[in-house]
Amino acid sequence: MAWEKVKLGDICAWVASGGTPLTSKADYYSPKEIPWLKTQEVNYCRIYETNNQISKKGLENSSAKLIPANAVIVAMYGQGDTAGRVAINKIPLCTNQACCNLVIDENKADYEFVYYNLCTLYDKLVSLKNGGAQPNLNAGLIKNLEISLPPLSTQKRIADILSAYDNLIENNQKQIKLLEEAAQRLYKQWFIDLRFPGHETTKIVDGLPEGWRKGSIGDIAEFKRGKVITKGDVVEGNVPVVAGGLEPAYYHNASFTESPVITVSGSGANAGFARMYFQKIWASDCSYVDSSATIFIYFVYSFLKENKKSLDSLQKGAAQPHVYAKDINALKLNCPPKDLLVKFEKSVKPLFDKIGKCQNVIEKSKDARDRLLPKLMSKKMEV
Amino acid sequence: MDNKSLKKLEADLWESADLLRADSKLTSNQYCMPVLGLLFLRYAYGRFKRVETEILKNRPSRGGRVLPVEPSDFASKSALFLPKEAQFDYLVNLPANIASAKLKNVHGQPLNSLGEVVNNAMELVEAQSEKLKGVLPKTYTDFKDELLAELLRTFNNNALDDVGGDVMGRIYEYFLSKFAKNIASDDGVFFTPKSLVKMIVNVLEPTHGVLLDPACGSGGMFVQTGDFVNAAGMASNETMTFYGQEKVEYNAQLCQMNMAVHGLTGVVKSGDEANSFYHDAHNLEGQCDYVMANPPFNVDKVKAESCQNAGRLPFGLPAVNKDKEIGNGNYLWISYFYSYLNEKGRAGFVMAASATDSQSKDKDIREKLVATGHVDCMISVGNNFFYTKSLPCTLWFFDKGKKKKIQDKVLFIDARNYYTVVDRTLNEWNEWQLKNLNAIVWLYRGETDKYEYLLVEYRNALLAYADTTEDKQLEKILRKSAKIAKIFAELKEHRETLRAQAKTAVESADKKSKKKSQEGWDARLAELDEIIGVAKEADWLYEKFGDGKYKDILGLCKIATRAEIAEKNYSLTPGAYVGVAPVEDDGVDFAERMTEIHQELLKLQDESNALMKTISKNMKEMGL
Repeated sequence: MAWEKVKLGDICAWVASGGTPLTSKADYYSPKEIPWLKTQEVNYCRIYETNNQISKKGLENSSAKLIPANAVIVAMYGQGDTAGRVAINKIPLCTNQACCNLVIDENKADYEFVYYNLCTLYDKLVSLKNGGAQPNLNAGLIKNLEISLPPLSTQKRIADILSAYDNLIENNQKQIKLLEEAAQRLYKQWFIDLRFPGHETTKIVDGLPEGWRKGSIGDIAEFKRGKVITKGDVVEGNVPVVAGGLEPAYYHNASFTESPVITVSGSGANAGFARMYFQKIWASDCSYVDSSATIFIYFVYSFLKENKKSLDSLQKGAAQPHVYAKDINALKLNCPPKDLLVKFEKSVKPLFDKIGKCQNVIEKSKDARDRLLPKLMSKKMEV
Repeated sequence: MDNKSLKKLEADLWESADLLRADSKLTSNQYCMPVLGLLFLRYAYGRFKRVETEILKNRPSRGGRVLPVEPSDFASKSALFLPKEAQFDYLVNLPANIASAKLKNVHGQPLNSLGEVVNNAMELVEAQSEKLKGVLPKTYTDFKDELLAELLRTFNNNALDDVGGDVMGRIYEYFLSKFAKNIASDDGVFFTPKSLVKMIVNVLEPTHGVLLDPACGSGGMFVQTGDFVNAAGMASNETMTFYGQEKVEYNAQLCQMNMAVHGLTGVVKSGDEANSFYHDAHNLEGQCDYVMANPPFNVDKVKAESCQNAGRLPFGLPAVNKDKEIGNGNYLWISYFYSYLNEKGRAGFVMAASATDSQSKDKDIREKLVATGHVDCMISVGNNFFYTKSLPCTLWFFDKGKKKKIQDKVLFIDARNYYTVVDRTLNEWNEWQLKNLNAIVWLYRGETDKYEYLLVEYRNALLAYADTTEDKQLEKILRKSAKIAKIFAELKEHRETLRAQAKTAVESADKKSKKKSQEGWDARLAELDEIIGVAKEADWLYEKFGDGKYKDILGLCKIATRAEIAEKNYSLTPGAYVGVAPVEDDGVDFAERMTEIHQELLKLQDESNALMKTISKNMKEMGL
C-alpha cells in the first residue's frame, strides 16, 4: 500500500496556539472553569486533566482558545527538553502560548496515528528549532513538517495496535491508584479513626487504646541515609538509582537494598517525596528503609502517605530544601501493638503485591510499545 | 476622600505615568526617582498653598494691601516655603519654548529646557531644608521636555488639591510598590511589602520613644509606625524619634522623600558609614525603644575583624571561614537588633526562613538568645509575599519588657497558609487577617480586652454594610444577632441565590441592555464578596478562640516553653512546634467506598484481560 508525504498543516482542520490571561487579574483565574495546559504537562501522554484552570472571562480576554478533545498538542518551547514533545488531549481545554495545537481533519488523517508518528520525530522537531538565545519551534515550522501517511484505514489499524498498549498502561495506572486508595483507607480506618478489629472491646487509657503507646515512626522502621553515587560512577544496568526526583535518575548495575523499599527524596524541589519500589534499588540522594529493616514496610509507607504534609514541613536549608533521615524517624506516631500491625500487613500485602504486578505490566507495555512504534512508522512491518 | 476614590486615584495616576514611560526610552530605574520627586514636589506645593492661605487669612492689611508671605512664616508651621520658581503651578504653566522665556537658575545661568527648569526647582526646594540637601533627584534633563510636561500635567490633578499629607503619602507609597516590581536592586529588596511591615508594627505597638531601622531601605517601617501612632490619637512626629541606616544612597534618598511626604522627620545616614556590619552610625546600642528592619538576607564576605570592632555582638561572632570572613550575615543582624534595645525595648524584623534552623555557631547564638527569655514571637510567612522573589521568610520579635508570666514562653505562629491572593505571584495579609494574627499575640500576652474589642469591630463593620446596602435580604442577614458562623453560612447561601438570579436576569435581557445588566449584577456580587470576606475572617477567628481564650491550634499556633525549645535543638521554626493541621475527613463511608473500589478493580481487571487478548491477536497478525 502507498504511503505519501504530506505537510502537517495540510491534514489539519485547524492549527492554533494559545495564550496566558493576565496574572494580575484574579477573576481571569477564578472561578476555575476551563482546563488550561502548559507545556511541562505535554509529555507523551493522554491528558485527562490539567494542573491549572482559568475562568471563562480569562478565556475571553486572552489569546487562549478552546481546543476540542483529541487534538495533537506539540510543545514549541519550555524548559529543558520540552520543545518537540507531544500529547493528546482527551478533554476540551485551552493552552498557553507555548503549545501548538493540531486539530486533525478526520477525513484526511487519524489523530492517534499522527500523534504516534510525531512521537518518533522528536529529534527532527528539535533540529527545526531556530533563534538565538532560546531556540524555539513555531507554528509555521510545525505546519511545514512533512510526515509519511499510509491510507486512512491503515492509519487506524496502526493506531489501534499501538493504543492497545497505551490503554493497557492506563488501565494498570488506574488499578494502582485504586489499590493505593484501598490500602490508605484501611490505614485511616484502623489507625486514625481507631476502628481497628477488636476496637469495640478495647479500653481507652490516657487517650490511647490499651496496648498502644506514643512514639515515633523510627521506633518501627529506622530510615537511613542513602549512598550518593554520581553520574560518572554509574555503570549502565537495570537497577534504578533513586535521587531527588520523582523518577529514578539513572540505572546502575548494582543494588544494595532489599525489595520492597521505601525512599524519601533528600533534596531539591521534591524533597520529602515518598515512593515505594518493588525491586532492589540503589538509594542515592534520599533516605530509605527496606524490608530487611522492618517487617511492617507497608504500614510505614501508609503512614508516610497519610503524613505527607508533615514530611513536606521537614524541609530545611537555605538555598535548597532538604529532608534528613533523622527528622523522618522523629515523626510522631501512636504505635499500635505488634499483633495489630501484623494483621494490617497481612491485609494489605495482596494490594501492594498487585501494585507491583501492575507496575511491571506498565514497564513491559511501555517497552513493547516503544520497540514496535518505530517499526510501524517506517513501513517495515505488515499490518 | 474615601478609600475607594483614593484607590481609583492611585491607579489612574500610576497608569498615566507608566504609559508615558512606555513611550520613552527610559528604564524603570531611571524613571522611578524623578517621578517620585515630582510627586514630592506636588505634595510640597499642596501643603505650601494650604499653609499660605492660612497665613494670609490672619495677616493684617496695611493700606488696603496684605503683606506677602515670608519663609519664616512657614517654618513655624512645619511646612516648606516654596519660591515661585519651585511652585508646581508655575512649572505647569511655562510656555512650550523654554529658551524663549529667558529664565535663569539659582546661579544666574540660563535655563534652556524644561528638564533644567525642574532641576532648578529641586535645588530651590533643597535650599529650604537642611534635611533635604542632596536628597531630591536632579536628572530631569534625561527626559524629553514633552514627556516631562505631560508628567507635570498628570500630577496636576485637581483631586490632589483636596488631599492632605496622609493621602499624598498613600499615593507615594503606591507608586513605590509599583516601581518595586520592576527595579532590580543588587542589594536586596528596597521596598518591604506593606503587610509584613504592618504586622511588625502591630505586634510591637509603638507609642513613643526611639525607633531605629538599621537597614531602612525606602523607609516603610517609619511610615507605618507613623500611621500606627497617629491612628492611636498621638502625633508621631512629637512622640517618636526615627533613626535610619541605609548603605545604598539611592534607597536612602527614597526614604528621606518618603518620610517627608508623610510629614515625618528623622535622622537617616547613608553610604559607607551606614553599613551596619562595620558601623553603629547613630551610637544607639542599648538606647532604642523599638528596632524594626528588613535586612538583606544571607550576606556573605563580611570581614570578621572589622565587624568585631564595630561591636553590638552580645552573643559572639557567627562562624568565621578561612578567609577571615563571615559567610552568612543573618546572625550579625539578629545580634544587632537585640543589642540596640534598651531594658524594655521591642524588636521586630524580617529574616530568611533558613535562619531559624541554621546550625553550628548560629545555633549557639540562638541558644543564648532563647536563654535571655526575650524571644517573644516567631511568625513564619509563605512564598510570594515579596515582589521580585518567591521566597519564604520569618518574622522575629524580641521583647525585653516581657511579662513575667510569659518569660519562659515563646509564641509560634505558622502563617504560611493564611493569606489573600493579590495575583498569581503575590500574596498579602489583608486588613482583617492582620488583625486576626495580631489577636493571637494579644491572647498570648493576656490582653483579652484587645481581642474583645476586635470582635466589636467585626460586628460594627458588618452593621455598617447593613446600613448602606439596598439589598433587604442582605440587610436582614447582617442584622441578625446570631453566631458569626451562622451569618457567614447565610451570606454564602445568599451569594448562590444572587448568582442564580444574575444568570437568569442577564440571559433574559435583550441584546442591547445585556452588558449593562451584567455590570450591575457584577457590582452587586462584588459588594457581597467584600462583605463575605469580612465575615469569613471573623468566623476564622471566632471558631478558634471564641470569646477570647487562647489555645494551641494545630497547624497555626503554639506556645512553647524554653525547655521544649531546647528539646528541639533550639529550632525556632514555627512549623516544628505548631504541627500540621489535621486533614479534613472527606466524609466518605469506609465500607461503601471499599466496595466501590473493589467493583471498579474487577471491571478494570476485565478490561485488562480484554486488552491482553487484543494485543495477543495483534501480535499474531503481525507475524510475531
